[in-house]
Amino acid sequence: MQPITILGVGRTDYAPKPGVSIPEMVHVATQAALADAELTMQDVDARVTASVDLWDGLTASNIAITEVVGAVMQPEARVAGDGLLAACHGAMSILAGAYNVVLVVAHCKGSMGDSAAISNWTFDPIYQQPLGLDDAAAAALQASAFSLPPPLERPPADGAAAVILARASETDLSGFRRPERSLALNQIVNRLNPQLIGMGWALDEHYLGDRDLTDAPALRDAARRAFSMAKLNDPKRELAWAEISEHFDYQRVLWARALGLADFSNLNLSGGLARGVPPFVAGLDRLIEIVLRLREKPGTALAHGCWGPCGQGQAVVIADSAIVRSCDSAIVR
Amino acid sequence: MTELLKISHTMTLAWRYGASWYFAEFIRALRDEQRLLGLRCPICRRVYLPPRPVCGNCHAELREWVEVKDSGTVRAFTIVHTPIIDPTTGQPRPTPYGMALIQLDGADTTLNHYLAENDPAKLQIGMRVQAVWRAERKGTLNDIAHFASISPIAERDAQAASSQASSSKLQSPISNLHSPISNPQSLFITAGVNLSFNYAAGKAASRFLIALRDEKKIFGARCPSCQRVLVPARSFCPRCFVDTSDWVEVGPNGTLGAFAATDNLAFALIRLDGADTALVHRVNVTNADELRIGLRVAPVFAETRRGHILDLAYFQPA
Amino acid sequence: MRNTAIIGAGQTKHVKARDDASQAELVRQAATRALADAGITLRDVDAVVLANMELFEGRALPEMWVGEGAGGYLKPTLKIATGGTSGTSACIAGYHQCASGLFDIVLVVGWEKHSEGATQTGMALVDPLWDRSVASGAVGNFALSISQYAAERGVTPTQAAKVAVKARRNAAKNPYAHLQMPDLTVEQVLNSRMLADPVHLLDMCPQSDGACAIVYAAQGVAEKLCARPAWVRAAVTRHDQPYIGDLDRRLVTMRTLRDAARAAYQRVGITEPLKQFDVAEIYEPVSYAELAWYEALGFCAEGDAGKLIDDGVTEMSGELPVNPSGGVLSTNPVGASGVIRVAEAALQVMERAGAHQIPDVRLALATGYGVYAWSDVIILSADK
Repeated sequence: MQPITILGVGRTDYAPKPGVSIPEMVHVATQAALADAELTMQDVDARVTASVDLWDGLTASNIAITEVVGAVMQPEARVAGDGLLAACHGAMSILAGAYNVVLVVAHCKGSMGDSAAISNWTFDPIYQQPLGLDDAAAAALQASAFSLPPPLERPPADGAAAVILARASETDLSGFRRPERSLALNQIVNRLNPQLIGMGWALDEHYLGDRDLTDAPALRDAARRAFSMAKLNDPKRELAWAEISEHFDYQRVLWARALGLADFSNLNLSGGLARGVPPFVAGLDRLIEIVLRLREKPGTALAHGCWGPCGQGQAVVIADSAIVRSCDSAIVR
Repeated sequence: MTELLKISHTMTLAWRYGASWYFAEFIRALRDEQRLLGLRCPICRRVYLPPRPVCGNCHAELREWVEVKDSGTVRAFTIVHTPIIDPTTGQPRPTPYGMALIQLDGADTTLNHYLAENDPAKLQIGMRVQAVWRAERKGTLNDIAHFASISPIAERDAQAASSQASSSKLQSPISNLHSPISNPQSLFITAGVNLSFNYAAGKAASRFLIALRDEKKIFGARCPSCQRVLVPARSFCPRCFVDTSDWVEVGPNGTLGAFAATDNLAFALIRLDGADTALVHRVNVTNADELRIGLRVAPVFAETRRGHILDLAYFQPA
Repeated sequence: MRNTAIIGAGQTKHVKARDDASQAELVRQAATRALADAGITLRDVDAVVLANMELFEGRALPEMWVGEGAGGYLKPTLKIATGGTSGTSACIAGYHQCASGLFDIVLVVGWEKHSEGATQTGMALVDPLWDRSVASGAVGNFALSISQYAAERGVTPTQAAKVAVKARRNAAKNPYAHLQMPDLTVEQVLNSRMLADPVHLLDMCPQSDGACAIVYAAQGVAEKLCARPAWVRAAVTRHDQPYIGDLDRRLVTMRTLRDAARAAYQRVGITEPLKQFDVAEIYEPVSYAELAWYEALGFCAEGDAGKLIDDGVTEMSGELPVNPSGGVLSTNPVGASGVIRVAEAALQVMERAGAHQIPDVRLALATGYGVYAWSDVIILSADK
């Protein structure tokens, strides 16, 4: 796959923000990402946003953020799921040749409502929802399969995260609509920016009783796709770091094992999600963590996101500090 | 033909919606001073109502407050005849009623609001209207009951009166609104829903639930491809994407595979005898310490059964 | 950009209430039919894209439960939700995924079961600080904009009613359509209950239960599987400002559709849409909207939309048949409606539309509409 350059990242702090509106919260994250990339909103071709209506208490909740993500008279796709999935889709649309610069945004205000009561509405309404299941109860079931006590729930947090993706090579940049912009972008793209070199995502079965809760086949599948795309044969040795979405403590071991990273020492050096990261923002936040680290130290790193009951949905992104020098075509690692 | 069941759920959820500084300021002026405020874009100079952080056309932050009058011009109108549920009351709004897009004097956007008039013959695009405020203001757009048409003569008289009062108006503390965030105090608004949903179970799940109801029997359905007996029975195998074939009575007893005791309920994955997947259900034990993987359990059926997964009330140690 | 084509489509019979099938089963019916139409099995599918307006059924992450019906298990599966454009935006997302080179075959499925939700459910969760205080509902919203459009362009209720009649008459030839009314008259539309001036009951779309799926294949695969694939030639999205009052003269200007069409036409080299397109499947939730879209899409000059319908130009036998399927006015499972537009346009190019097939279709247009004025434009062609 053609590498995708990660031009900029931005995020809010993660804490309850009762008096802050969704658009204002998202505005902070998008402006931070644009500043980090040294771009303006006019440089962005398209947006992929991630949010889930019932958590936001809004129908088609991306309506609330159209203006702050710069989508007025512009393309936007909204993925109803985790932000890392939105990043994958944004990368796909660049690979497709549809856009050159894509702003990826995820937002959630976990403190707005009763997350447990809301998550009950993710279970099928015939067989599981009537029992009163919610995400915490499902997690407790999964923990018990490892003979662990019910995991602690983390305090709700609010926040937004934004990542700017761009086409990496000069040839492709020549296709920009405005020549002056293509020149400026060329310089920016050629900075030491990490690149997205692999991705994968997959869904597990829904009915909890169908699944072996001690395993995560969807994550193994997503990781297999991402590793193969990134041409990693021995991820445990080739990866410098990994940032995974352990929404509950017990998931750390489970996800690491499914990723082939059991006993991997450089896992969640950032501290993981324990400090409180909102759902659906978590995966994109993991990507931001590895991007910031890759800017400091060369290497290859993994970001992981998951969503739904017991991590039914799984996504994996591989990023690398390698840069493509588009001027002389030399690939510098 | 099989009886087709629907499963009902009622959604009672509430959210705390952050208003942010811009809405907090708008609401304060509306409620406390009966005044409408808009935000002006520094680039296109459009005055926006409702207030918001950014002009979507210019990508510019909005910080300059501008007072907007409570009179304006009708740009579009309709008479609504079909009752819709008013989210503020949960009741259908009495019909017919007039609605309009009103460009308030001083604003560049229009305001979607109710009209006093509901005879289309008396309405036209371009007519002048004036807000009719409620006696008690709560800080929502509903503090304006509706807009009523005003005659040009009455309006001219009102303007003369207001220009006389304008000097005193300028001395009110709200008049100097050009600072970025004149009132940084933010607020949130709590609003909720109480809605009913009815989900079709489909033929297979209906058959499964009717067997629970009428025969107190638990059925699985076999996948002809992977050969798993899926419990509860369903129409297709999610792994193999093929229709399930024969139905197999399973249990009634089974073995606990995982469990979760929450504050008032305990859930478990129960592998019923003869099944290849586990049933997710409730367990009832006198002491949570009794719960262990491998525990043998038996179902307890509800006295009154209605074709629902909780016709099987819970499992208890066999 | 890798050439990508639609090689199969499938849908359910759209009705008021599908009590015999759960959402997952409904989706599976459409997906299975699309796979069969494409002559492939689920094993051949590399990725799945879903579309649904989840709050209409009160769900969160419905793809968790319903995704299995689209064969999403252990496949890259994601859901697009952008209001009324969810279906067309999911079709564009699926197209991008296939054109990216990472997937050779992508399945897109949209669905909605309005019968399962409380009336106006989705509408209840509009912006709490503003819109909930002055709710006008979907019909009222349209009626407001229509009052301006009709006043400015001189479109008459009779001309709008002709659009409503055309849709339901066309639908009678489409076995999957919800409202099939072969004998509907203009008088009946004008005498139907007034919902919000000037919109009558029969000027509006119904609320339907249904699902629709399409199958994309990349160049190299598509030609092997399909004798006459419908190649995607352009796919453009435009969103707009969030409040109804921001978009004064919405139907009059319809700037999103106008700009999306301009960009898409430029890519394909379309200068005379009325002449160059052989068929159009456009997202018209209300009769008047179709007339406004004629202008925004450049089918006629501003103010001539009424003449277009009067002269029968957009009838099945006209120069540019618009919505031979019956359109959204006949069938509206919202999350599926956009997919249906693309599927129907593709069926016309593939020459598989059955009784409502237009002869010799080489170039087809599909559009999506949602929120107050969001637009998608997709152009399909028998030529790469």
